[in-house]
Amino acid sequence: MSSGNERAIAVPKIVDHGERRRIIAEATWRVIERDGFDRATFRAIAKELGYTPSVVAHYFRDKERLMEFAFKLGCEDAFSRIERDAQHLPPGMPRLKIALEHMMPDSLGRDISAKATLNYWGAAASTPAMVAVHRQSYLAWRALLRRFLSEAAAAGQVTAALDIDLESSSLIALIDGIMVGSALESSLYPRSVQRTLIHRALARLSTDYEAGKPRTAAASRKVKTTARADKHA
Amino acid sequence: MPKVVDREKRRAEVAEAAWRVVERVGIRAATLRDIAEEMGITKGSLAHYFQSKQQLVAFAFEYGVTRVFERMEAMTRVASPGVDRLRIALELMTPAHFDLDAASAAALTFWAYATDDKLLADVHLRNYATWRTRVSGFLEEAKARGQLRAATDVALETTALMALVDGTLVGSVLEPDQFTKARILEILDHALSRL
Repeated sequence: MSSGNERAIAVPKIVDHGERRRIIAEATWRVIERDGFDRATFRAIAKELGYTPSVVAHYFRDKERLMEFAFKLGCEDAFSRIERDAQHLPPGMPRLKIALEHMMPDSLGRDISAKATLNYWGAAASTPAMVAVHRQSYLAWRALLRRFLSEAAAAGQVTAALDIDLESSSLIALIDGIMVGSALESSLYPRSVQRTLIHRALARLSTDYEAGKPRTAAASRKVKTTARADKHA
Repeated sequence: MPKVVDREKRRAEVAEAAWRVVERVGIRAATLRDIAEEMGITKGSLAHYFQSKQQLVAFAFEYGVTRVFERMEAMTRVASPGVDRLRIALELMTPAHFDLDAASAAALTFWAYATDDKLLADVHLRNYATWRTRVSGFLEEAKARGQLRAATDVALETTALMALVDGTLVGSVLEPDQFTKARILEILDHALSRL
């Protein structure tokens, strides 16, 4: 904080506006993580950076816009890291694995903590513009998963009859659920458990998995249609 | 003794009214005044039961989840032990079977509140401790009946299924076109078929 005043004075004539917006976004996540969503005001975010609140207001009209920008940026950064690492890996499962690991809440490269993510979602639940930003980011996320799953299918690493849409949605739901758990039941979701959950989901995609299935499980699946919650309602 | 019963009954009525208001205006916009109006009582009378929105939200969620668990208990009791019961339990905790359309969005906002509110965080931990017991109990039943692989790690499987259910809730609010009710049930079926 000792450099705060210098930075406030040094609001320079030549500013990289993109960089400034990024710095504000990153500070926003830090303040939410430390002080909570409601206390992450423009004033608090500015203070974190040693800016005056008007600097933040210069870049963002309101907190919603700031949150939208910060969420989109956090996702884009994660996707760039996934693309960067995927290039150096064989197609298919190795790339899928690295993608999921990058999106884990405790991934080292992840800018947005689980707590911050949940706060974005919670605010989005009553804010259509924030939902739209989430949707857009998740379309890109889904496209990455679909690409790596298609590669895996082409390379014979997964069962041939793989439903890529269903698998993508299942993996997205798993990661998002891990996010919820790691924010609200953190003792049950250490990094090792997060990794195990992901690796276990990937193992179940592999061609070897179905072969090891007990016959009784196959038999129990036959009755599944009779055991629906709505049939008993 | 009757007084205590009346008080609990009254609190349940408040929770019911609160959920009706949430269904109409959302959890963030709902105020104690709205809920008092919904019940035809004054805000002062409501304050006799709940002093803050936070307290009311905490109670309304505990109340709502308890109702789901009661339904789960009734429905699983008459189903075959193991995977069938597990499927019913999981389905009841997904948005595919919530009574109110607004419940998923309200839950997502509740989770956000709970990241920074000890009272709400504790309610969530209690609800989920019970939920975890249900899921792991049905998995143990399934394992004992040879419906699962012998090597199944029940604790890990429980966490995986709970996370998946929570993830479908997130999706149903934020990508409703991808996470339709039918799709959510397919995701569950798919996960259960790989146990």
